[in-house]
Amino acid sequence: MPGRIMIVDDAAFMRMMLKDILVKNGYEVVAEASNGKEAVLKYDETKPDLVTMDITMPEMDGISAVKEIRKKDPQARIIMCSAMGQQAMVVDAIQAGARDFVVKPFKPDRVVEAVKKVLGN
Amino acid sequence: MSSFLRGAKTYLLGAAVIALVLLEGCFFRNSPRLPVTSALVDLTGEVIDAQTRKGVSGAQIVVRDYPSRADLTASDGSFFIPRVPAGRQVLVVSVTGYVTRSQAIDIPEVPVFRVTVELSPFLGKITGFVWDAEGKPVAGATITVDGQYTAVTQADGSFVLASLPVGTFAITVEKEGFVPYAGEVEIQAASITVVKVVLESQHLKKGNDKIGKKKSGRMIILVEGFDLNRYVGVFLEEVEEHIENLEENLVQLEREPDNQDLVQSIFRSFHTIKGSSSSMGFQRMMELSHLMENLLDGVRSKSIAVTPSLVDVLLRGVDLLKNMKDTVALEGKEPEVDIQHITENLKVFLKRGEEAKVAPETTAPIERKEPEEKEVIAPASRKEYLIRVYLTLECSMKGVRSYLVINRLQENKVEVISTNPPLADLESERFGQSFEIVAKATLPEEEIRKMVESVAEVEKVEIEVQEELPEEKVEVKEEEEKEIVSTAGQKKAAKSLKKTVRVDVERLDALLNLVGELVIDRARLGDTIQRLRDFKELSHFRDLLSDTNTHIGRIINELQMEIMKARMLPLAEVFNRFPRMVRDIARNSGKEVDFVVQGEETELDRSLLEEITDPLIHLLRNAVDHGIESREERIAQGKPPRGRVLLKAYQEENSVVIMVQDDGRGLDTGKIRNKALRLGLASQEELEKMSDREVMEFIFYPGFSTNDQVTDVSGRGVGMDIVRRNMERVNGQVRIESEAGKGTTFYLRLPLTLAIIRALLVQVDGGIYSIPLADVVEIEKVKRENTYWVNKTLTALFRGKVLTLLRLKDLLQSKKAEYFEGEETPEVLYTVVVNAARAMAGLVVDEIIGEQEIVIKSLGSYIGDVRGLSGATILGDGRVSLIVDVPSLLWKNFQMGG
Repeated sequence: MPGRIMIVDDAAFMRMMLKDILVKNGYEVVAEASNGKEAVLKYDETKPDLVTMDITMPEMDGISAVKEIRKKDPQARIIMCSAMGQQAMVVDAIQAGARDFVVKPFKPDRVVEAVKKVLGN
Repeated sequence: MSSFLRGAKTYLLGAAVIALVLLEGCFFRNSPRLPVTSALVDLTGEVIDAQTRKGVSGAQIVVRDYPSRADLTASDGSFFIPRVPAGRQVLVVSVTGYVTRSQAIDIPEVPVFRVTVELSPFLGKITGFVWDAEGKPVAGATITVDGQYTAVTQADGSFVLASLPVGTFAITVEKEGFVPYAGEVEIQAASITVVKVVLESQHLKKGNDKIGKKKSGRMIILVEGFDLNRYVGVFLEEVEEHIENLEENLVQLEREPDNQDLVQSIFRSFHTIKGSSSSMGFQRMMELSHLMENLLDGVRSKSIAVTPSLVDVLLRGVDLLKNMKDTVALEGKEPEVDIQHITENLKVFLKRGEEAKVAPETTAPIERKEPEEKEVIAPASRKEYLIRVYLTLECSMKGVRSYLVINRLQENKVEVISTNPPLADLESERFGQSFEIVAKATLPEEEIRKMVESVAEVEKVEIEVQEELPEEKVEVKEEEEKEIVSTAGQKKAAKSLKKTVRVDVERLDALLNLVGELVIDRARLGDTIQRLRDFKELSHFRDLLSDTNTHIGRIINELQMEIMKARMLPLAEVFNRFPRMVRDIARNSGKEVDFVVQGEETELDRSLLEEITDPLIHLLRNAVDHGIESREERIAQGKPPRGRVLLKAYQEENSVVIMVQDDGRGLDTGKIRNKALRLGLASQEELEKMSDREVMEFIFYPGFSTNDQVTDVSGRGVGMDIVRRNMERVNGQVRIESEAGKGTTFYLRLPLTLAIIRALLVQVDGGIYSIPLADVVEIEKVKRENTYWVNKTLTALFRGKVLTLLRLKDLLQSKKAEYFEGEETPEVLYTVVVNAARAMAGLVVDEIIGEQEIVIKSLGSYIGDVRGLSGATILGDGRVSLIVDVPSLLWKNFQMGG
């Protein structure tokens, strides 16, 4: 099942990389957001099958965004994008309902594996 | 080849130019850039391969600020670009297979200037880690690629081999005590390949000796041929943005050490730079930003205090990041700079911070919310499972990964009894590639397997059923879920998001040009409607047309305004970098300065922003360096010990005013007078007649400086010359107000846009010329009896001052424009009094037509830069009017006249 994905990261560079990886593997990127607040709004608008969520972002961080999104849609599937050293925050995010995580720098096959597994395909 | 162009200085006039401009009409496409009045030089030379030293053919070479000056290199790498303005220029050289290069060159005023540009070919890079079979890093292992490129692993097992040729090569990894690894690796152009090599120990496990054949380890390619070049643009842009924010925020942090928003923002910037540079494989940038991120984390948790010396170190770190970024931009790779000095410094702060931590308040995150392993009464019809989870070799954050697995099980009503190794060890990653979970569940084995496998980076799951358990009550845990709901983030009112698109500036320029055309057409339409007046029977249609024309006019105006607005950027773009600069200058000169910025939201056309940056830097440097006194001096004068520098912008009608004000010692007019006398700029007699205000104008003369001690930041007086030159180039003005002992204020007045100006239309020798109103002081009808011969040239008295009268016609033809004694002079001289280039003069014209708003058109690349003219405009009746570049005309005339 190809998935409709929203990418959330404050760095355009990271969004570009993730988008490339996902599109190359047949996924559709339906929305991009550069902070948590935007992500929450765009999640409502586009109802993606999956969200990749950065942790450290301005306005609203990734963990709060996970909480907000999961509050509105308890079925929301979210993968955290974390940097080394953010273990504690990833744990927080998982407790808030994130389904999985990938660690930067991204390895394309790891990202695809995580996406596949979370989407159940 | 095109030697006829060489040194052919063009001073064009009259009908011939008008014809050319009309021909050129459909090619107008450049932004209305005002030409610089410097000599034109033919540029020649070659582009060569930095390694083979041979010419590179087909490379595009462009003078960045004059895109029409470009060439493609011939098969031997040679190029020829005629008529490039002398001075500092940046050449941009690009061709496939090589790293694009921007090279700044200083072109002297010679007929031909030779330059050689070296291009570095795209090379590949390999990086990665060497581990032993137990997942521990192997230091000191030697990696050899293609038998000739070698690297040795660091303490963390990492290595980098840059500048490798492209192709598939043999790779070997050797280390005493391990079985050497040999394999192949593909290096792709401009790409980075990341590998992980696992070496097998030489000492085989007991009992395996008989096997004789030793396992030779393996290599895993983590990232293959990651095309750096595709991302480098975005990477650079973003890093630059963050560096700018960092400079601004760090300086502010020094003033507001308790501002948590600032700390957060700085932290995020370092964090993002770290993430991006690690993805690009830039180890040093990553390491440096990582350290600074950690420091900020300490600041956030209050274990590290914000002190000026901390900010100093951070700023130096940011400088280093900036340097590295610049090298990446130019060479496509990270420079081999030594970051140790700065990292040591940063680590000192980190260490202090850690010592300051009284108790480890950050207790283990996993433990914090981990469900307690209490003896729960085993639930209904359940089995106890032993689940062995194998993580992939490349798995990072194994601790969190194991937590995710446990969490996944718990979510699905699987009760986790214990783990091996224990949770604390799992969490701190004290385990190899696998761990075990003892759990109880009613679910079948397959379900549990699926659950665990749904977690990424799980390579294998082995499940053993321990024992069947009797049916018991289930204790449902609800606490956890509740907690999640209650801690959900605070809801903030969702601000409506601004929807934006990025548009190339060239598109806006093109749009503006098109609107310019519309303005002209509308003027012509108006002209035609006027002529219809003669046909009474058409009066009804004429009225209709006239109404429509008025309406079109309104819409064009709005259109114009909208495009102008789109081109506008807030001054913050420029202002933001100043707090850092002022702080540094003040610190270097041991002065205490409060720097206040106001009105940074004021908007200005983006091309103007570029023009004012240098002048502002000079003015601010002067203010701190020469204006503000030392602390002792200030106290002695009864002033507050801290100096104050104000940078303020505001809009005033159709212009923007930028004010640079200091409360320092003010300009010393006595010193300026002496210096002016010494330099022979004015006689004692002249100086005596001059007011202080007029005397101040001398500081704009090239090479004029009242400060005998030249510092490395300012001084030399070069700055003030540039300030005025730059301002005049964009039809702006500079004004000084200064009072001894109280301070100095500079006012820079700029037009809102470069594209449309108000001009005075005059007739000269049958042609219509436009003189920018910014240069015009007054229009005078001078009668012959009111003229005087001074030093054998014709002058008139203007506000009590002697005004030299110059024929605009001759000025434009670069002839001597003064009237010489004995010449016939007309009865009435129509004189436009102009003030530019530090000189006042009366330009004599044939007729004065009136004032009008004109759209500046560039003269086009075909004609190029013409001295004395800054562009052209098309009038309502379709006639072309050339725009007079007053400063350069006067400048040249006085230079010729001595």
